[in-house]
Amino acid sequence: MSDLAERVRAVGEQVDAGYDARRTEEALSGLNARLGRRRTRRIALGSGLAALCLLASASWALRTWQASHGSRAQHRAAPAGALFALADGSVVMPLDSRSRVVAKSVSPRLVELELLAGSAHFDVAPNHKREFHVSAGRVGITVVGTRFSVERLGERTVVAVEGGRVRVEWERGQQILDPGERGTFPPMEKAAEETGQFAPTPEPEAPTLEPRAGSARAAADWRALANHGEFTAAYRLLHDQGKAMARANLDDLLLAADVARRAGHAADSVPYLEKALATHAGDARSAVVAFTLGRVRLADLHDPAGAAAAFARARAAAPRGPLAEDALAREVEARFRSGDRYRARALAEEYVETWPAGAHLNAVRHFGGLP
Amino acid sequence: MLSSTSLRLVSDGVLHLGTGSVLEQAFRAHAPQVATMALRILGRREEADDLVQDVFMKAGKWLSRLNDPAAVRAWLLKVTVRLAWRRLRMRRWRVTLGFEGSYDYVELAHNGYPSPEDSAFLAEVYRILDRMPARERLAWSLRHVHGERLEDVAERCACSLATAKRWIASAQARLEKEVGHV
Repeated sequence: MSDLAERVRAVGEQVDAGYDARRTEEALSGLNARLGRRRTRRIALGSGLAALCLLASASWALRTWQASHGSRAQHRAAPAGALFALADGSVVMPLDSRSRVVAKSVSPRLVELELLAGSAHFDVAPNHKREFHVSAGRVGITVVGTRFSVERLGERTVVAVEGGRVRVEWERGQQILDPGERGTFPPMEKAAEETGQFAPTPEPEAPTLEPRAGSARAAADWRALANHGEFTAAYRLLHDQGKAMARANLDDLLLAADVARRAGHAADSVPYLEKALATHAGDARSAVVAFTLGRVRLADLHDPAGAAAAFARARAAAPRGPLAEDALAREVEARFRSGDRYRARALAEEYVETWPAGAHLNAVRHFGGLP
Repeated sequence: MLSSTSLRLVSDGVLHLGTGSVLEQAFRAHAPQVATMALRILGRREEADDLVQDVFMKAGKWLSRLNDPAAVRAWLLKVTVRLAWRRLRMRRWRVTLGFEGSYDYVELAHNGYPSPEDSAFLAEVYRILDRMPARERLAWSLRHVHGERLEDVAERCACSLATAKRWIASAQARLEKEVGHV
């Protein structure tokens, strides 16, 4: 061992912590105090952890509940035979044996489907971060969250909206369809010509004292505004010359009703629709008028009893018409909302029997109280 | 706190020290040895006192699991070495990061022992040890300051005998070189 090591050893032996009895007891008191603080901290930590666990358990239970309900919703919305059932709950159901739908693109931001043939019902889950687009021939339909049906009829396409709103586009134009509305696109050439006759006339006419002529020009003006989407201005004009509508034809009445509703005066559309029903009962379009009235009463005026009567009238006007199924389904809902559960159930049973694979089967079962 | 029914776990020396929990009796029996070893390794009284507390805080958790009462002292000293090693590493990090300056170790002398000359010599040695890797310093302190056998040094440092020898030799060479030139 070196001299240095020996000296260190000799000096080191004299280095002592000085833990005599008194010093040891003092240190022991310090130890007990630390142990007490540690116990306190552990209790606090344990309580905190317990609270965290409780929170985590609650969160997990909530997510599990949501997931199970979400999967149930998806299961409800994706019955056997669905053409597509997307992860977000959107479902495409075939409406006839010819239905052929292909997916052109499915991503979190864009879903592009194409209806190649037949007709299909689209139940699109609301998702503002994703664009949902359906093309059918020369027509494209863009939606956010809605339920609608698309049917290919040769070169043209019928779009019927049940809920939400869709934008239908074709080569020469586009149109927004609201709940309950349906249309055939692209519009017929005749329709385009009719639309043209209401275009604003640039040449000012000479003043005339003949009231009917002035009235006709005023009517043309509000129609032109309506056809250009200026519903508020059109409604103002329409409201100012209300008497001029006394002898209006069915098209005018329907357009006036549409103008009032889109201008935010849904209640004002009812008289036009009721007048149309009263004065054109034999018209083939009376079912559409009654259906529209029912939709306004149900969705805009919250008058389910009046809506149920209107839907019943729509069914009566065209028992086998294209709106019969929708009208019956809506009547079930209206009866349910008006508190007439017995009638709602009876109508629901009628629906299930008539359209066992109907597009509204789930909703009808729900509102009719069927298993 | 452990119950007194576990007294059998503590060595005979503890049983003669009076009543209290097993941990308290173990503390009264072994704290002086633990404290002295901690002081000789660390060279600082306040850190040595803290280390004693740390060792027995751990002992409170593990003491009842030791089936051999004779192993208590050895186990406590081994824990002391492990915790001292950790403190030495942390001390080097603090010095490297500039959170801690040099320490003069004049307090190492206690109650007039050793002599002022020996105290100065020891302080110089510890200042040199402060600049060494923790493992070399630890092994050398155990061997030459605390007087442990080489086998015990290897066991307490959880290394092989050859490694312990190598660490001690490395520290010794550096001390031989630097003592008297600081």
